[in-house]
Order: sequence, then structure tokens, then C-alpha cells
Amino acid sequence: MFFIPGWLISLVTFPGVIAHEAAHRFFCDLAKVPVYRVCYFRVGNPAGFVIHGQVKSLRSSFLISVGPLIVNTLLCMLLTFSAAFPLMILNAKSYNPVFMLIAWVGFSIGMHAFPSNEDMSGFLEQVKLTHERDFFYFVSKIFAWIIKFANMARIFWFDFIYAFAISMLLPTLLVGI
Amino acid sequence: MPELEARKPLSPFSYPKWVLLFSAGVLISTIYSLFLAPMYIQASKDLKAGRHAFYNENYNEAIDNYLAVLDVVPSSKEARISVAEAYFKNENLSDDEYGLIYLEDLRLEKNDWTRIKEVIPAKYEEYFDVIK
Repeated sequence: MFFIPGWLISLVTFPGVIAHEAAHRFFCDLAKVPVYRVCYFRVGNPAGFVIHGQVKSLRSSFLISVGPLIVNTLLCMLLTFSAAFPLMILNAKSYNPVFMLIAWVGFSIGMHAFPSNEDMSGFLEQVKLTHERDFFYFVSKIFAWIIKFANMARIFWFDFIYAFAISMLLPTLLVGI
Repeated sequence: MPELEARKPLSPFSYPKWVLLFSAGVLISTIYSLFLAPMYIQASKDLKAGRHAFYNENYNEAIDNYLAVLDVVPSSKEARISVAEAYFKNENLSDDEYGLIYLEDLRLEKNDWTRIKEVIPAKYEEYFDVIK
């Protein structure tokens, strides 16, 4: 197992950071939550952030937190879709550079699908403030802990494994290996 | 939080131009990827059909399938090794040379060579060099 600094991973996969923050911003706008500052990408920790106002409901908070997961996962799946066949199944030895560029963008986006621990802390605060103990409350709590676990597992390249699994999902379902 | 609330929020759904350009690029790339997908899906299905035909000893059918893959992805190592295997295995001995042509300039790993060695006529083995 070898370790690469987070800022370097973010630098190499910067399209994923931009897509992640843009998705946060978009879902804040959808949930009518005021946004005060957005950093789509920088070299540092965190590599990007969205500072927004108070979220009124748990559902809105869930939407803002889960938004990048949905958007980045779908984009990763679709962008790497064509590239996965020649690269992983057909074992092609020469590639079109445009194709490689698209595959890199897609994979980078997949690596930044998971909400960060900061995103989850805000979300868990909202969960604590919620008085209703309905089904959605329990789903939210489970989701938050799954994401926290996924973020811990980043040390074992979980974000890379997730992007790889997502990239292979559609080709495997359609053709099998 | 109160000091944050005192600041003027950004206008909803108004994004910097470069973010919009980035999004447009991602959208175009997604469409391009989906546009190419059917061709690669078919090639992957042909590869699978070729393997199936090969294991059922229908070598000529396997060759047709593998050649269809190579029409789409000429550099597919998997298809080149597979078509060579099928050429070596079919009953037509004059096809063996085609098998060699498909292996030309290909770097074979140990497991690839194990596959080839099972089917290649002994007289052709000398054409291969160990490079590591």
C-alpha cells in the first residue's frame, strides 16, 4: 500500500473536484438555500468548498449532500462507458487521445463522487436538529455513517476502487466479462 | 452564522463562465461517449461469441467473430491472440500463417504465451523471443 498526498490526488483529478462543487452549488440552488461563497478548485485542503446558509429541512440537507454522489456517479458511468470496452474488455494497445481524455475526466469525476466528511458533518448536524423520527430520518443516519465509513476507507484507495467499479458496471451488465 | 447571513448571497443558478464551459465540455464528452458505445458493445459481444464458438470447437465461426472485433479495435490484444489461437486450431493448415501475422509485434505476457503454446505448431515457436 502506498500513500499519495490528498492535494496531489485532487490536482490530478481536478475535473472531479469541480463537478463535485458544481453539483453542491446546483443542489443548493434547487433547494433554495442561499450560497455565499464557492471555490470550485484550489490546490489545498479542502480542494473545493461551498459555503451556504442554513438549510431549512433534513430533505434539503440530504439533497445537497447526496447531490454530488448522484451527479458524479452518473457522469463517471456515462463518460467512461465507451472507454471501458477497449481498455478493460478488449485490451486495446493503442488509443485515441480524445478518448483517453474523456476516460480521465470520467474517472476523476467518479473519484470525487463521495461527499466529504465536512459535508457529512453539516448533514449530521441537521439530522440532530430534526425532531421527527420517521423513515427518512433513519435512512439519513445510515447514509451519513456509510459516507463516513467510505471516507475513512479512502486511505485504502476506496475512491479509486469506487470509480473503477462504477466504470465497469454498465459494460459488465451489458456484455459480461 | 449571523455574519454569514449578513453577506449578500450569490444569485441562484448563476455560474462562472468557465464552469458553464466545463459543464458543456462534460456534456459533449458524455454524448460522444454514448455515440461510440454501440460499436464497442457489439465488438465486446463478438469477442464473447468468439470465445463461445472456440470452446465449442467451431473455429471458423470464432475467427469470423474475432475478425469483427479487430475491424472495430485493430489493436485489441485479446482479439489478436484469440484469432491466432483459432487459426492455429482450425483444420486448415494454410491458415497457420495468418495466426502468426496477428501475433506480429505483440508483446506476450507469460499467461498469453501459455495460451499460444498450447495451439501453435512447434515449427513456429522459434519465431518468438524472450525479451525479459
